[in-house]
Amino acid sequence: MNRRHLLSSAFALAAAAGLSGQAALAQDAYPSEPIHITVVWPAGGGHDLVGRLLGNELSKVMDTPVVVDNVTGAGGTTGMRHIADADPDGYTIGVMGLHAISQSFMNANAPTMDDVDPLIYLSDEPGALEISADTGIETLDDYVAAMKDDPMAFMNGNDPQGGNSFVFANVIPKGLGIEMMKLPYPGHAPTVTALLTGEVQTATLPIPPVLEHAKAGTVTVLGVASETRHPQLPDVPTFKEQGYDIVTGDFVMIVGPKGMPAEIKAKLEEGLLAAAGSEAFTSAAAKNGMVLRTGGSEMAAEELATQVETVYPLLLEAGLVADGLKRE
Amino acid sequence: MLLSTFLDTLAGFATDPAMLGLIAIGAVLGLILGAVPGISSTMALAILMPVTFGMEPGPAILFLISIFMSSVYGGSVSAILMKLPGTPASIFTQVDGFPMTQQGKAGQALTYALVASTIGGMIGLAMLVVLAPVLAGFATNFRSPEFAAVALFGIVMLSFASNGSTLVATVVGLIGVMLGMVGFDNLTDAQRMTMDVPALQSGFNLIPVIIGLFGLGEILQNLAEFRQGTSARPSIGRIFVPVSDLVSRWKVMLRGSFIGTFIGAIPAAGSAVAVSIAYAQERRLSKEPEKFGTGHPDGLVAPEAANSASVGGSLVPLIALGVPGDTITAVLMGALMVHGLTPGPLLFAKDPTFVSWIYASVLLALVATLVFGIGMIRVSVLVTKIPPQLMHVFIAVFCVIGAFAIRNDMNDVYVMVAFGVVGFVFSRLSLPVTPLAFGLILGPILEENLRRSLMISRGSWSIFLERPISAALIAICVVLVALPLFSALAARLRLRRQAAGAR
Repeated sequence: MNRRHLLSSAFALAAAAGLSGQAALAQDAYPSEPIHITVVWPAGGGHDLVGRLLGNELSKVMDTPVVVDNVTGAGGTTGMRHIADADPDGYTIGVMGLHAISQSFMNANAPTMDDVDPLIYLSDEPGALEISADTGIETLDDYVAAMKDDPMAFMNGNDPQGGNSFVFANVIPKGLGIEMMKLPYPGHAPTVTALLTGEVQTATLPIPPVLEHAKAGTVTVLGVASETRHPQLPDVPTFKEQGYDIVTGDFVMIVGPKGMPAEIKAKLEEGLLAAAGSEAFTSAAAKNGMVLRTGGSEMAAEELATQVETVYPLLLEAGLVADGLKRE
Repeated sequence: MLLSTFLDTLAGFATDPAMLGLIAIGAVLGLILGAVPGISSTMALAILMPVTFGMEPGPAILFLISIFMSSVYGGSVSAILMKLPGTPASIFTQVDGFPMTQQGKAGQALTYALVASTIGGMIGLAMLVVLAPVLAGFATNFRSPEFAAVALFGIVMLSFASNGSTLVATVVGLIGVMLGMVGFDNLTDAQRMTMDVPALQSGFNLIPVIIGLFGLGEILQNLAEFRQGTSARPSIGRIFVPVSDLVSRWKVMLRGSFIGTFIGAIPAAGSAVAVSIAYAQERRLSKEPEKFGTGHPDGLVAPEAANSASVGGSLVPLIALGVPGDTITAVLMGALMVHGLTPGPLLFAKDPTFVSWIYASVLLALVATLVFGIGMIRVSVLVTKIPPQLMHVFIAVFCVIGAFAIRNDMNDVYVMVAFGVVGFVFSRLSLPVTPLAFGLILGPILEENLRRSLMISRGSWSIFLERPISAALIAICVVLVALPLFSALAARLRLRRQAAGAR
């Protein structure tokens, strides 16, 4: 009895010491461990590049190692769950885009947007409409005329339901007042390939994957779905300039799990903003066709809410919202 | 003009000690990372990419390509010694490589693999240099119907890929095709056969399945035999393989290299498909197909030549079209873009030195892999000297790490364990496991492209016959299936006639 008592009090003491030690560490010396940036897509994609470039700068700013973890599978859901379920201690954060919003409505196992906490907003990825140069069509008006004449004139390549170019392929034809035949490809790279081999004639990809082909003239960008022209393609007009009110886009932000202590979140936000503003990051990002529009956690939360409102009706209309996830 | 730039660049690299140092470091890192199960060539490149951020573009390409080339051979080392493929490109290397290790011929197996890799790589490079423009045109003819036809061709070849009954192999292969459907549908993102279980939503990734089937399955098998006390660790044996023996396999190497280059050049087909087809093809053509799977050098040489050759092949669409051929070249392309070099259609005209950089880097990386690969064979003697009990524990640990590391997902570990049990049960029942892997690789490619082709043709199957390449591939499939039928029929007729004549 006595011995048991002694043991349990010893445990309690150790636990208390451990807890207070942890708390002290967390307050005084964050970050004292490596920070893990979760990327929900495989190595080699756009998000992976963001994670690695930003991680490289973040480790200098925060003076701690930064590790990129590719937690992939299930259309990005496995990785999002990894972020949402992580301890909210500021050592697990992740790169997130439009896909996570789609999945949160399509898959009952995916974390909802209430399970993550936006840290910084990084960049816009405006949607666009591209057409193969082989078609001979050079302007948006010609394209719209051809599609009104025969809706099957050109087939469009895009992501499966839920991907960003799928969302663009729904928003853009609606704004143009045309019907569009959509062919799904698993990812942006296969879509570019299909556009180049002529299997599809148009695509609704964001600019970075087609930038080089647009510069080479094999692909013509008919319009960009943003308020201003794309910095990498200053000669290409927006849809608005051409008389169609179409603004749609993906985004990149950094999120953490819900429930991070305020001081840690503030430190992390500050560090991420500094890393995102560094010369090394901005120049590398520009080379890859990213449109940086960096902002703190408040702006990120606002943008996230806006995007949710844009995507939900689209998915609902396409019959893609899972049963239990429909809004009342 | 390209040739002289190429030679100048090569001379520049080869005479600069700093460059040679970089190649050496890249080759050693690639060999080690490739040999660790679960770290694929893709991950090795991604992990080491930030190291190059501070370098000039030329050395950076050199460094990354030498990691790329050497990790392809590195993957084969663990496949041969431990029956654990380090990369998807080496999934067929273990089928004949590991039996050689068991027979005490690990040294020779590693030499076969290294020589085949080097020759395959050289042929792939030569074809890249000479045929890049032609092959690029060939690659653009590959649309969904052609992909579907290639996958069908592979599935037909599957019946030649293992010993025993063709029917059993086909059924097991079809189970593999079904397993490939679990998870998110590639075309609609709808869930299939997941029963709403998170673990099944990720689908069955190839690597955990292969590690389970071959790695853990083997360990369970060994444990079962261990109680009977028959598990002795054989030595590594001789390393030297007679040159005449290597030369006599020139046809196998050539065939493997050509298959590797062409399949590698098809965007998104990838080295896993190249090695499957190369292996099945070699077994079909062999005079002694029954020896495949028991340590036949040809079964090792063909996929090894193919996976190295596919490196050259996969660079073709990257350089000529600006489209990555597979995930590895996608990472490479990402790294190049960070350095402000964008592969694409303008490249040959705009920046010929950049193209020759790549060619020179591939060549030097091959040489470095050969040199350090030979060194590594000596070191790997140490691995085989570890007592079997200890070795089994190591392999089991590596199985878990490898399955987890590929996507950082614990679910993949459960998948690996489950398939370990499947592999064990299959081997107890004397069922072949290779067709299962075949089905899992080719099934999703066939399904995705078949469905997309039918969408394009609005449901008409004639799309597969209207396009020459897919029509030719389908004709070959029909011949392959029908040939044994006809020869059996002819044999029966002859017998009947002989019987009638005797009467």
